[in-house]
Amino acid sequence: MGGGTGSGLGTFVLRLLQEEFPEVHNRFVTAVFPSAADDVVTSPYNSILALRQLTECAEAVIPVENQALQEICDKISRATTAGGEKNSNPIKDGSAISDNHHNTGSKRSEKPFDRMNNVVANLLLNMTSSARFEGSLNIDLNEIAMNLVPFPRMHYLIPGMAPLYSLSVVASQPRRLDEMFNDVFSRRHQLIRADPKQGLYLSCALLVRGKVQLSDIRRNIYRIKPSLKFVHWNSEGWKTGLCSVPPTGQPYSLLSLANNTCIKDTFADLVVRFNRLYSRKAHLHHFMAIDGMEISDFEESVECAKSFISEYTALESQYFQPACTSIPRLRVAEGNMMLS
Amino acid sequence: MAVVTIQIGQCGNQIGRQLFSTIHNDITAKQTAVSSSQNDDYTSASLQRFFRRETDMHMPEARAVMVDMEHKVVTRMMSEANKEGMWKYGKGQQYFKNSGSGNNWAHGYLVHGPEAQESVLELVRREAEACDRLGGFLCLMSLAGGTGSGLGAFITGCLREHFAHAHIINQVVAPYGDGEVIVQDYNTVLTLSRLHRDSDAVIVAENDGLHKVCATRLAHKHVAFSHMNSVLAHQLGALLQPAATCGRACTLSDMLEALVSHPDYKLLSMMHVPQVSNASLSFSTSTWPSLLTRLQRMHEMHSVADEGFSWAAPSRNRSVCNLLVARGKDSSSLDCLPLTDRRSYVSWMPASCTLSLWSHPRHYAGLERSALLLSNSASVASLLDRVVDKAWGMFSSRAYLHQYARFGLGEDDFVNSFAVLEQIVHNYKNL
Repeated sequence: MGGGTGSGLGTFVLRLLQEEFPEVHNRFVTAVFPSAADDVVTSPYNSILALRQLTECAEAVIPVENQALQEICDKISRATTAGGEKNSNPIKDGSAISDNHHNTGSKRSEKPFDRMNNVVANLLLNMTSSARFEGSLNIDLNEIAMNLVPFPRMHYLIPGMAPLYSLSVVASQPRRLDEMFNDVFSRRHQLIRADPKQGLYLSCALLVRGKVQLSDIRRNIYRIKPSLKFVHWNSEGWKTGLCSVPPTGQPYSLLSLANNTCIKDTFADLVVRFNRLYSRKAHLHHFMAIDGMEISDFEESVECAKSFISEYTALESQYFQPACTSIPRLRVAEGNMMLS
Repeated sequence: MAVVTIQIGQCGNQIGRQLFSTIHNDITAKQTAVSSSQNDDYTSASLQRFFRRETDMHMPEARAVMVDMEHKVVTRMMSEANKEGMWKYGKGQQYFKNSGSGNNWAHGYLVHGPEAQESVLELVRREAEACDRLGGFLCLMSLAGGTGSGLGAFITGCLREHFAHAHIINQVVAPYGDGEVIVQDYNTVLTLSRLHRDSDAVIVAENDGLHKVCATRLAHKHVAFSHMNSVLAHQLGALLQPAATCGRACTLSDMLEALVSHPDYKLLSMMHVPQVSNASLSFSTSTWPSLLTRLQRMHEMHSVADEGFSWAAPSRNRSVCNLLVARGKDSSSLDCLPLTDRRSYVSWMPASCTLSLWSHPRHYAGLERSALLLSNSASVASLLDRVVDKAWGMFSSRAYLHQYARFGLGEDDFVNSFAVLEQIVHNYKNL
């Protein structure tokens, strides 16, 4: 979102797909949101402008933040150095997923973002696993979009993963299944910096891979549910998928995609950073020099972001006053139906 | 009499495969406690009903049409049948695409339906023409997904239109109450409103109930869908295998006559006893009085499982009418007293029509005596009430409506479907 090509050309392509292939409904976007210490100075402008396009043209957006990825990678490397090098590497050297072309233990010639990108790659693998492998509860991208997006504009799905691993390195010893379920809802396992437990869930999908029983999943949902806030009309807003093939080197894994109001904090952050630049009109002339770019685009985009944030806030307030939005059910009168 | 089974969606296909296996195992069972001529009559009637084969040398082929929007499940079911090696699915009797319905009822009903209509009807016609005497259609589908529910409802409508005089029975499976698919309540409301119009009878099975049977009575440590499917298949087999009433063989017409005499009451629930695990099979025997008392208790308590009754059940379960299918020794001269209490039936049903009895002396599935109760009663009201409540809650917050609108299903359609369901719930609650 922070760069020029990704955010600009990327969202243009998105719009193009919407126009050229209107019957293909599912446009999933994995968007990397810039962190506060971003090296691109104009990233707030780019992000806010792109955000508006994403809200209008995409079906579902999976936001990912560099800072969160960095923290996850740090956690993984801290855990492995603490645990020693005794993890026998279950992944073949030289195979594509490990990106490990040399047969050395800790020294790899890897590029700076490789580990972080690998986490995101694993996210995408887990999301599409049911479409590629067998399972007793298949879930494809259509179903994800259908079940997780109750309102057309609120389509930001926060990803959380457990266990955490990058390249061929696993964060720790294989965790017990229940611990994995706990982890996937904790702040440290989300791929953006947000705490879904603080926000309100609109819906949540759990994509499980590996040797897990349906009864285990249901038991854990039952156990964790009370600590999560769900919107009142979707108190059982869970979508479960079970794929029998685990990821390489793991017995099982869990991916959660949560449509949660805590994403509004990420947007609010962006708006603050945007305003910091915009109030001084800093760097604007570069953008204005391009044909077709108007100052109103900036105004509209930031207004769009702000109204979007307030939509989420309105939903949150609904949580505390459910009664005011529900209409009483239809009543049957003797002989005819009457609407109450 | 022959029955053509139409399996729709992942759930429908999995149950169908299990059903044919259960029936075939019953046909080839050794311990039947009847004379060999009686056994031959039974097995040939059953084979005729569910399978077709060119000669005795060929493997029987199921009278089935398999429909799904993606190929994985259909292919797997066919290969599972082949692996068993006792029967198989007919070649070319499958319809599948590569797109899936995404749990979207509107996608199944308004888009996939019309696309699939020609081909599926052709496959059904082929099966129907291969029957000497078509008894009716059995549609197996779920209520929660997109294909089973949406496409299933559409196909039922097509069958009604093209086979106006045929009997159509739907076996539907309701998902777990605490959620498998987020929009399951919408899908359930939309499906049942159509089925109530197009189908002759709808047998409603609930995952919650089947799960309870597996967990409590059958003592499965980890209950999986395959366990639950096999319980349901077991019950369906007990219902549909050959039986006799008043000296003549029973047909689907008899079933509908016995159970669905009033067009406003078409929803049926099934209960079967005894519920024993395979391990305890050889150790258990039951007498008819004990089986019937158990059934009656389960019926009163709205419980599919013969255990774990919640004694807080509000009132006596009122029925429109019931059908009892008893299999085993002396089943024809059964004393049905526990189930004939006049007070538990509606007043407008004549006493002679309240309970029908079908029987057959042959053991079913290794059980010395077994009884199935197919009931048209208020048991179904609490499930519907709950579903409509949740669906209406979502609807009044206008959640997910754009997903359905995208395929052409508007708010009016929703409101109409709700109206139909509220009427059904009202009817059953006021029995």
